[in-house]
Amino acid sequence: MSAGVTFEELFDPTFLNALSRWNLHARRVAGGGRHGQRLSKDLGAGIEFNDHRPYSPGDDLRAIDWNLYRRLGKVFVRLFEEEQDLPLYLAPDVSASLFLSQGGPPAIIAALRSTLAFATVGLNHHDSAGLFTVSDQLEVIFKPRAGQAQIMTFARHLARVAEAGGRGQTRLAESLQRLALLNLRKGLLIVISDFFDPRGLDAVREALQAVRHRLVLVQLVRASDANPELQGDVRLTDCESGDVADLTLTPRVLERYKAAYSTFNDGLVEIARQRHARLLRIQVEVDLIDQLSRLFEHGGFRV
Amino acid sequence: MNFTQLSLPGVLAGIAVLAGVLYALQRLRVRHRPVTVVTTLFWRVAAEEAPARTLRERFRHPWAYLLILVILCLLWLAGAGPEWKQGDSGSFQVLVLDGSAGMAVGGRYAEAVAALKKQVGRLPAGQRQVFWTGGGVRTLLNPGEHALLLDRRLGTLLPVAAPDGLPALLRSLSAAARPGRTTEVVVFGDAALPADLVNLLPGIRISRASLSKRPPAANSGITALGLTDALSGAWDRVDVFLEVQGSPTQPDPRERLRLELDGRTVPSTELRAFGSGFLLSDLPAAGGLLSVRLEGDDALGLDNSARLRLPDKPRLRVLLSPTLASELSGVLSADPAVELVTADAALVVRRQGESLGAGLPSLEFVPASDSQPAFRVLHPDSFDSAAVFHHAVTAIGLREIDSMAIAQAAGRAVTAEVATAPQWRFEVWQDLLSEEFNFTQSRAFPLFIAHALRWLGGARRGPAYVAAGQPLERDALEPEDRFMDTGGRVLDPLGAAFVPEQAGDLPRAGGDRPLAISLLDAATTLGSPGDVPVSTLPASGGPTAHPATWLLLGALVLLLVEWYLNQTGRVP
Repeated sequence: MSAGVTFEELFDPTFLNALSRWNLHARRVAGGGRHGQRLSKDLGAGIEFNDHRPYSPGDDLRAIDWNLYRRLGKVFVRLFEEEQDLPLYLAPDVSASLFLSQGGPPAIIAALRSTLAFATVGLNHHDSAGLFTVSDQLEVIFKPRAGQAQIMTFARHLARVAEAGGRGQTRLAESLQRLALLNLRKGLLIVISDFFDPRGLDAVREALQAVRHRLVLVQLVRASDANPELQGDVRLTDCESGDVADLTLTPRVLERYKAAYSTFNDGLVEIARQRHARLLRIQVEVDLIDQLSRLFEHGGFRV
Repeated sequence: MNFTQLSLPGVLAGIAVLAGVLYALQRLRVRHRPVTVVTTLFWRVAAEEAPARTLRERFRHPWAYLLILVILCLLWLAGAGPEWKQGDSGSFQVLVLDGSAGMAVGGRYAEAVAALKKQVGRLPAGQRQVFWTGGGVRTLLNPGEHALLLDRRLGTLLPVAAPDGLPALLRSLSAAARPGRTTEVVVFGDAALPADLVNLLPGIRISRASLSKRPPAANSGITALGLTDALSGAWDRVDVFLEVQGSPTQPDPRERLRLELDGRTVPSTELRAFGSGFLLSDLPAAGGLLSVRLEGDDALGLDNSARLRLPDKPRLRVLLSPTLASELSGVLSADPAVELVTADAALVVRRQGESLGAGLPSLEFVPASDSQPAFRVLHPDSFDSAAVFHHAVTAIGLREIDSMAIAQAAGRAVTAEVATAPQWRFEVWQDLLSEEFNFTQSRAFPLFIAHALRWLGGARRGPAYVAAGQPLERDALEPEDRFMDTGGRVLDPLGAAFVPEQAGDLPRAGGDRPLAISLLDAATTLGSPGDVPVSTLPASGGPTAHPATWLLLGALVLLLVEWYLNQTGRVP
């Protein structure tokens, strides 16, 4: 099991400064939330006029459209679009595989930095953000909170996760099923993982069916995932499960490996398509700021 | 295929061991390199069709095993020293490189050497023997010797001024051939293969290596140089016959001939056409060396010079006893080789008991008696009696005497003996001088006296014709004549005729006048040997490289195949 990483390694000043420039464009958010900057499906005390409806007792008298009453002789109240916050549910994978270094930086750094990036973008725009870590099981670090002051709280929690090191397996499907049972307000679920659930993508697909939130899948990709630099007779040990596989690596075996990995990626794309979700691929060896800048700038990241 | 390093059972046992070891290795547990990965998800999928090798599993990859086994077997066989079996490329071959004078034309010899080396490379070491025939026969490679020795032994060998020695080699090969077994002789060169010789050699099959066609080239050479007694009758003179043959397009040879006698030029104008050649008359028979050179460029230089040692025939200064003057003075006066003197004589002719010319070689007439043979040869102790007697009988011509008539007239047997004495002496019955025997009146008498005196005087006619490859006239040699090679070893022909091998000088043992030998071979000069049709050995074909080379090449190719199969994932 690989050792964790420190706060300084995770969130250097350059990275934190870059986060302030980014924005997140969301479609209409679900109602029932606190006041925010996102147009919600609720009609209420906003400034954008939306519709009229007949007055009923208990309505705010300030909403009565007296001009319409004068013309029609009936009492109608004006309905305005209410602006609410977008709850972000950030679910980074903190299983052992993300802490394993295979020559390059461990994927956990990119995972946690991405998590903080999404949280910061949301909190800067009066959204709320909650943190749920995924490994053997879903762990609720904290439910959505709003306010820019929460950014550092978020960072400290993420750093604590990183320092704790890798824990358990990537039981993504089970974690998502548990998340779906939490009865959270509809929001944006951002899953950050390599998606190497030992039960396979089918289990993940099935678990996602129960999730009501809008979905962003952030796939952490290592160069060695696509092109493993292995040859000869090897004993492969799964860093999470400890499973051992003895292999004689021939070019043909490597070809089959690549074919299997390609099938896996295709499956992930298909899941995203079915769920109308965004699928982002983050190269863990490449500078994250560059990759996220391309994502959030030029009109922001639309979900 | 034979193996020089291992026996056939050893080779087979080695292959069996290799197969067993490989099989065990194929089944041994593989030491896997431990690697921790983020997931084994995809590896398990990839390994479904190609699980790792483990001990005591089902024996997998039989073709890979077979491939490795074949590669190792090829390497093993190459290391076992394979050689082509005799049956692979025919019978035992005797390869003969012609180093005679005819091969000195252009690059003919170099081409023959190259073809020889190629053929040696094709044959297993135990299946060929290589000879060089030039001035004699020289062995270049014995059976079993490595081909690398050939280069060393060829060294600076070049064609020599000698006729080809192939006939002599063929005769010895034929004599040494095993009954019922054929020896295949391959000739590398233009050596003549006379039909009358080839057809008489059982057990020999001759073929000629394929060389490029001999280019037609203008050539002339001296083909005969010999001497005879002077037609003028002068005892101390000889006539020399000289023949030049060659291309008719070349200028008159008389204009190109340069003659020297002991370094002094002999004008070519003295040459007189005689038969097919020229005659040089009345040259002094004083032991001089006559050198003849044919000037001008032509294809072959080795036949453009010849030399001949002239005999030393001084007149014999004879002291005649007055008691014999009536019987012999007429005969001796008529002999051009004899000069009758009263002082400073070299020989004496006397009766037994006379003290005249004491200490000189003598022709003595002795009374006939039972104890006295008709002819007795006496010689100093240092000479071999048998050789002296043989030479004397021949030189004096005792065989030609009508001994039967003499015996009838004398009433006793006519015999000849040899004995030793302080000085050379030839004793003859004095009764032969009487009229009773009528010997003095016979035509043989002057000849008998002349021959006896010449023998006693040691007059040497010498060989009339000395050519490389041609036997010397035995009668022209003295008993003490022994020739030496360049290493100073005496050449003993063991009773056979002495045959000088190549042109040049052959020193005499204890003598100061070496024998001058010339090429004098018309076949070499004209380049048109009478040849029997023989098969031609193809320039290519048959195994061209050592079998180990082929085996190693095969192993290399299979290694490349294995590498390709490994890279494409078809073998582990």
